[in-house]
Amino acid sequence: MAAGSTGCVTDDELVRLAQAGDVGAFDQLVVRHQAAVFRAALAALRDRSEAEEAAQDALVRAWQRVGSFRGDAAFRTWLLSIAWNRAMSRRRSLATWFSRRAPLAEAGGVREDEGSPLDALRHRDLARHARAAIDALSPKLRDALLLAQSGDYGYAEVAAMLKVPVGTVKWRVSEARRQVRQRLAALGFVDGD
Amino acid sequence: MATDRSAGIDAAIDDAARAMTAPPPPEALRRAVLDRVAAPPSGRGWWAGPRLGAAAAAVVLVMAGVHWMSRPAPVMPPSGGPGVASPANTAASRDPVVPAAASPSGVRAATPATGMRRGPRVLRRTATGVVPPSTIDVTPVAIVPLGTEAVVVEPVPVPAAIAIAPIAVSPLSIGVAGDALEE
Repeated sequence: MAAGSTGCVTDDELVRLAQAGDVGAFDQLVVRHQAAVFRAALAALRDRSEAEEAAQDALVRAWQRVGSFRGDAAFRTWLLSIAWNRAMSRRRSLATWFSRRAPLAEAGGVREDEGSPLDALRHRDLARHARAAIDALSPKLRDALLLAQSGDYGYAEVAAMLKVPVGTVKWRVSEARRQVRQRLAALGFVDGD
Repeated sequence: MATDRSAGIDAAIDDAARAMTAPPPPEALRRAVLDRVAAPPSGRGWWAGPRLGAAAAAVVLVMAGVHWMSRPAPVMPPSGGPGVASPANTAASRDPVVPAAASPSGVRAATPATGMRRGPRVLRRTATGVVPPSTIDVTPVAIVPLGTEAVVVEPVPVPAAIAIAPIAVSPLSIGVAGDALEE
């Protein structure tokens, strides 16, 4: 399949072509979904290089198994499940997982509308402590919060990835927020200061 | 309202969570996937040959190990006939079982040595050129009766008789409630 001619082609059509061995069609699927796959791996592994390898493994595995995809769920959901499973497998095998979370703490994410230098300093401090509090969550709560807040997935997709009901995902996100809020309050971060 | 009070904190939490998964996928991801997808399927690459060779070598090593472990025991020329090992050789030098006298086991040590003449050992596997024995002599094992020592039991002194006095029980009288209690 020629690149550039797939703008209005649906995932299902690309999947059918890929099932027939069309590497170009699968490449278009990679272009469409590589960000979601990578972010899911990043949420699980918290390390950029590990997430890249997990995402690569997941996409190659999807290519190898695309022939068995029956279309019971959306291709993207199926692909994200593979990505999450690969990331979980890699996370389990990483003995030094906890020590590899540090680089991500340097990532950005501070809001730009910070106002005065004092406000900017306070926002940076709050963001740093919020990340630390999220890091301190249990894996189940942290995974749900990071996936739900990434902006890439709906609750149904997160539920499919985590293999839990949607209600469980919502509860985990809510509980994660509550615990992070509690930790921040203990550090003196209260609204209206 | 609590939600309104914590709106800023919630926003900070959302921002922090989003930032933790914000980095875009690396540029090389798509190219790496395409390279791997376009590569020959695993098992047919250039390394398939060495891998098969290594697997074959491993199988040969395992088979050699199994063969070595299951090889027949060395055949000793018997004293009485072919294929029958002599009891002396069997017990003294070739038998891996510890002799009864040296065994720490109480049961084995308590067995009288006079009745423990070990019978000739029959080889489990017949090696090439060795004719199995036609008859096997098994010496009956003599069992020495256990000696029992008489146990002396001293009589236990009987305590003096205890006198039991009868207890006089007078029947209780139950009066009419009310008047009796007021008195």
